[in-house]
Amino acid sequence: MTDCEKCREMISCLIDGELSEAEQSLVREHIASCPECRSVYDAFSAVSEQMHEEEPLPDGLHEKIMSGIKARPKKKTGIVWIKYLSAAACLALVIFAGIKSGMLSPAENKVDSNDLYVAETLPVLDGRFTGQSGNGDKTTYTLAQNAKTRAAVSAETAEKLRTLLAPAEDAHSEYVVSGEADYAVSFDDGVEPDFVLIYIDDGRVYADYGNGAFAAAGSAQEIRDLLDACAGE
Amino acid sequence: MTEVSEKKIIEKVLGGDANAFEELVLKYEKTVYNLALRMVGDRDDAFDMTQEAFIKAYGSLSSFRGDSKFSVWIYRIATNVCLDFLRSKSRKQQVSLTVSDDDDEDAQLDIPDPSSAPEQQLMQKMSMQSVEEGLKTLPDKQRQILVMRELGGMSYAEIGAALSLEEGTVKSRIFRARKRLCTFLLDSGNIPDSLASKGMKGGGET
Repeated sequence: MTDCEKCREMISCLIDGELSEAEQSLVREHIASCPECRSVYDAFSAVSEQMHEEEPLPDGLHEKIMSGIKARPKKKTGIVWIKYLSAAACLALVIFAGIKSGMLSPAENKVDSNDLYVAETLPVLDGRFTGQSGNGDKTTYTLAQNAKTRAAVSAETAEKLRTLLAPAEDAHSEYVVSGEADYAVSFDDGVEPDFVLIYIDDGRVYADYGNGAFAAAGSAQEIRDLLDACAGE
Repeated sequence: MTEVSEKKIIEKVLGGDANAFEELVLKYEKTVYNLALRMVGDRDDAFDMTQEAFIKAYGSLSSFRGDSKFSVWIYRIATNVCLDFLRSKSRKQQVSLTVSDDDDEDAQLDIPDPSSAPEQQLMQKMSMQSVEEGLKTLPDKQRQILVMRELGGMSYAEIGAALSLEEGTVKSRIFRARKRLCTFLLDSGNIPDSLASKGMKGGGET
C-alpha cells in the first residue's frame, strides 16, 4: 500500500473493527513497514483507549433521573387545544362510526385521503380501518363498510367532544391498544391534534391521538350519545 | 439483559408500569453520562443532560419501534440532547469560522477564545481531561459520531441508520475527528513526540 493517507483512514476503520480480514492484513503489513503510519496507529489507539475510560456515575444522578421520570406529567391534556377553537367557526366533523358486531359484511369502502384528513403516519389499523395504500401523493385508507358518516357539527359540539376525550383525572398511564376502534374521529377545523381513535371497553373510554391510548374523561354513554347526535346534526 | 428482555421491559412500561423503566436506567445511565460528558465537556452539564435524555426517552418510549437496539436509540437521544444544549448555549466564548469540510458540508471550526483559556497547556501526558479538551475543539458533527462510536459502541452501519448518513460519511467523519483530536493533543503536548509526530503532520490535514 503506497497511499499513506488512505491507509490512515483504514487504520481508523481497523480500530473500529470495520475491516474485512483481507483489509486488516493489508493495513497491518503497511504499518509494519511504515513508521509514520505506525505512529498514527499508536496515536489513534491511545486516544480510543482513553475515550473508553468511563467515569463512575456521580452521586445522586440515578435518584435525580428517577425522580425526574416520576415527576413528569404523564401526557398532554386535551384541554389546552380547546382554547384555540374559534367559537364562530363552523366545523366539519367527520365521523366514521359503525356497529361493533359480527354482522357487518366484509365489503369495504375506499375513502379518499383528501376527505379524511388523516395523518399519513397513522398506523394501519385493524377492524374498521382495514388498510392503507399509497397512490402518488395520496394515501387511501380503507374502511369497513357502513363505517362512514360525515357530519358537520358546531364548534360547541366539537369542544364538548374534545372535553370528553381529554384524559380522565385518574388517567396515569398510556395503553397500547390493538384491534378494532369503535370510532375514528377526524376534525378538520385545523386544530391539532385532529384525529383520534376511540375505544370503548367495559364502559370505559380510551382515546388514542396517535401516541398511545389513555383513559378519557367522558363515559362511554356520554361519548356514544354525543357521536350519535353528531351523526344526526 | 438481552434484547428480548429489554423489549419485555419496554412493553411493561408502555403498559403502565413506570417502575420497570428503572432497569433500563440502571443499565445505561453510566454510559449515557460518560457520553454526555464527552459531548458537553462539563460534569454538571453532563449530569443534567443525562437526566434529560432519560426523561425524553421515557416520554417518547411509545415511538421506540424496536427496529433498532434500545442502546442505539438512547445514545442517539443523548447525543441529540447534548447537541441541542450546545447549540442553545451562548457561543460568546468562542469565535466561529465556517470552513469547507471535505464532504461538502459546512463545519464549524471553533477556536476557543484565548482570553478564557485556562492554563492547561502544561499537561505532560494524555489524560482524560486533555481528551475532553480536544473533543471540545471538534465540530459538533464529528464529535457526535466519534462519541457514538467510542462510547456507544455503535457500528458505522448503526450510526448511519440513526443519523440518516451514508456509511462512507460516517467513516470519513470518524477518521477526520480522530485526526483532528490527535493534532490537538500533539500541539498541546499531550501526545509524546515519539507517538505520531510525523504521521499526524503528514498530508491530508482538513
